[in-house]
Amino acid sequence: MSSPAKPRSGVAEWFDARLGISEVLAFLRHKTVPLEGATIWYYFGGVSLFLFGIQLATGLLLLFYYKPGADSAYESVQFIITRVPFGWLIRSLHSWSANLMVFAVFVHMFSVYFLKAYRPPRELTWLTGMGLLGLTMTFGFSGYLLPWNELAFFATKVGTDIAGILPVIGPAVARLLRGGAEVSGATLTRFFGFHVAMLPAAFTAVLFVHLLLIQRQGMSESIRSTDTPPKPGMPFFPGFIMRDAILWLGVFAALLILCTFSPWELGAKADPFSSAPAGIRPEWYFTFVSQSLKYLPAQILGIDGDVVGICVFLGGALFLFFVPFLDRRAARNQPSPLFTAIGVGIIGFMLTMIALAYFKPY
Amino acid sequence: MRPATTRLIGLGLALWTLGLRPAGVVAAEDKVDTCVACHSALPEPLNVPVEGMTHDVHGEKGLSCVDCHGGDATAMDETSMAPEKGFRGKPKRADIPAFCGRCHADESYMRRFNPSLPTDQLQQYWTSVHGQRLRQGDEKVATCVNCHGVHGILPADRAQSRIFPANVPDTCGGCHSNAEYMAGYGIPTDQVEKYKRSVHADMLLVQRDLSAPACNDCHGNHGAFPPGVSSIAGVCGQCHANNADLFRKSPHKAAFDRANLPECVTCHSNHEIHRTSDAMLGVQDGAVCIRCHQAGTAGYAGAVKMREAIEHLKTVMTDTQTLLKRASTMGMEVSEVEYAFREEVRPQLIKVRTQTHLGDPAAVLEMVQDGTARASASQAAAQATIAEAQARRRNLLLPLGLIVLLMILLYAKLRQLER
Repeated sequence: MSSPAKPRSGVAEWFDARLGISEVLAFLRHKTVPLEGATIWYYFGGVSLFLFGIQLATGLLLLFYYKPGADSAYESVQFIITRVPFGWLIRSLHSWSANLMVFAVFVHMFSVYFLKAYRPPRELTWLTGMGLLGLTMTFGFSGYLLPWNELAFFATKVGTDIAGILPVIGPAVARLLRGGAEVSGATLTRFFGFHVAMLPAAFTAVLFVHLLLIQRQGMSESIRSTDTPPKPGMPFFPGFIMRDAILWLGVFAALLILCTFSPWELGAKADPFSSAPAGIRPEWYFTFVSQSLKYLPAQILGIDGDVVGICVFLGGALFLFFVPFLDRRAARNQPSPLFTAIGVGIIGFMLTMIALAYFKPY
Repeated sequence: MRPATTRLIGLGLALWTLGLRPAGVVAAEDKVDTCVACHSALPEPLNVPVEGMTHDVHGEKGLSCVDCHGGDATAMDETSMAPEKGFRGKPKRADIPAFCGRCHADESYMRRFNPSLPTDQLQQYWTSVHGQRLRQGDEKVATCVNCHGVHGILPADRAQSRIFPANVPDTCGGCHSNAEYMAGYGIPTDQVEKYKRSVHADMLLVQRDLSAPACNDCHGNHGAFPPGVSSIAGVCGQCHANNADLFRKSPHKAAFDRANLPECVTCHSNHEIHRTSDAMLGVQDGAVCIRCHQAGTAGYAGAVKMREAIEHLKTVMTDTQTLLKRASTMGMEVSEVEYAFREEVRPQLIKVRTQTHLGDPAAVLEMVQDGTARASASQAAAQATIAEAQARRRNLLLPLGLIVLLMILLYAKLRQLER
């Protein structure tokens, strides 16, 4: 438990009088985190937040040297990783932490899903979280193109082609993303704009609401019978936050090892006039979509197979988005095995498609 | 059935067909080509030209039968083929060159259709072995139609054409590979067979590189002639200019001339030219140098020196590539060094191999030293990159140690707070 308050220095007093730090600390000391079997899953939100912080810090540093443009992007990244002191580390940290962040956000989303933490009164927390997942994936999609290398160029071509399949709005969306009929330097500059200005602003705003809601409502306890008394919780500060810090340090150490032993590759510069090299695929977190579309027949009930596929994925995304309003049993604090089974099915499908994309793409 | 009867029946059929046309078409009958109308109704071989002209460059340009054969294509009866109407009919074999040359040697006429097409084919043809023998009365030799076809002639840039580069070997081989047909001429009939085993055929026929030579690129087109001993270097030098130039400056030039040896062919063969390799140079089995240079001579020693120099450069290059690959495997960005290696070192090896045609070991050694220096620069850059990767791995221990220490301290503090 917390030790008695020590006498504070004049500086601390000065700041406390102006910022009310002692009140915040008192709030945090009283705030508790449920102590249950599934506590490990509670940490993935924090890991995602930590990785987002690394994204911000390294992204800002990369901005010092990165030059968007079909004639300068690749060269500037090459300059960063070969000439700029610790440029290789910053660029690798940015790329590796982006991928780990997507992974952490997915784990966080599914852990919240399986713990049914979306049930009332946390529907808004779930909705903002789904918004953050979408923004994270958009961050990944837009950032992937920025080094203007061969893989990214053709993967973006495939990705924007898939966006173009969307019924009614597809062609307009594809054109908006590309800044023209094809992926070109215009696509790169607008992806840069999305990646460093629009997405960070949107992400920060939604994240603020998401965190505020968590602070207001606290962390969800798992569904249990009303006869079982709740276990005493863990104080958020220092118990939970210090465990978070230890885990963040561990994640940072893992990142450093990854960056040193497997620096993120740059590859060959994109050549819009060359044919696509073999084995082109989008980033791993989009492969479950691209791989699934490969197995669909050209026509399903007279409708283009790809259009049907994209509509099914859109339907799946909408299902996940609105799950707090669909899962009525969880809303009544009752187990909902059907939704658990659907979640297991979604994860199984995604993992199978990702594995096929890497081990048996054709 | 006698040919005359057949023709009459065909003509009757054609006229009957014309008479049965709908009224609306009658107005256009003035433009009906009666050659086509009649010959298309006649049996083989008289109808063959009609079909052939549907995919013929002359037909595409708007020319019709009368432009070559004369006559009157508007007449409905046999007066269309009357001599007084300029009908020339089918030319005799000996007359074919002049028959085609009537237009193809007429610059002002040809300009109307294709200003870039040469008009000296006929003139060149008479200088060729084919033309000369034709003038001597040998009607077995090739005339225009043997290479270009009769009706259904296509320009050389179309893949279906008999003179499309990749089709030329078979077009020439139609006669030159036929031992029975060529009997009496005293020349081999295995040239095409040998050519098809050559590096040139591999490029042209397998890899479809249309800049690779077919028969006509060395022997000429219309002025086809076997290159003599003195002109072979000129023929090969059309493409292999540097090699030919160096050879002319080499001591081999005078020696070959004295021995009446054909220049390039002596080492590289003629039709069956294999892909060159370093194994041709030196004094080991299979090397061409030892065909003339005996052990103990300066030439023999020079061959050894040149081969050793090339092998040395190759070793340095292989070492550099190994280092670059290692750096790349360690995740290091080496594309700039790889580019420099590809653009500066590899071409040097090609230059050194070309330089051997000068027959001067000192010149080869000088170029090898230049190549080695360039390769060494790439090697040093690759080594520096590997050293940096190793330093990064060593230096990682410090921050990792600090992080682990911080984690332990935090954990200890947490235990203390929660006690």
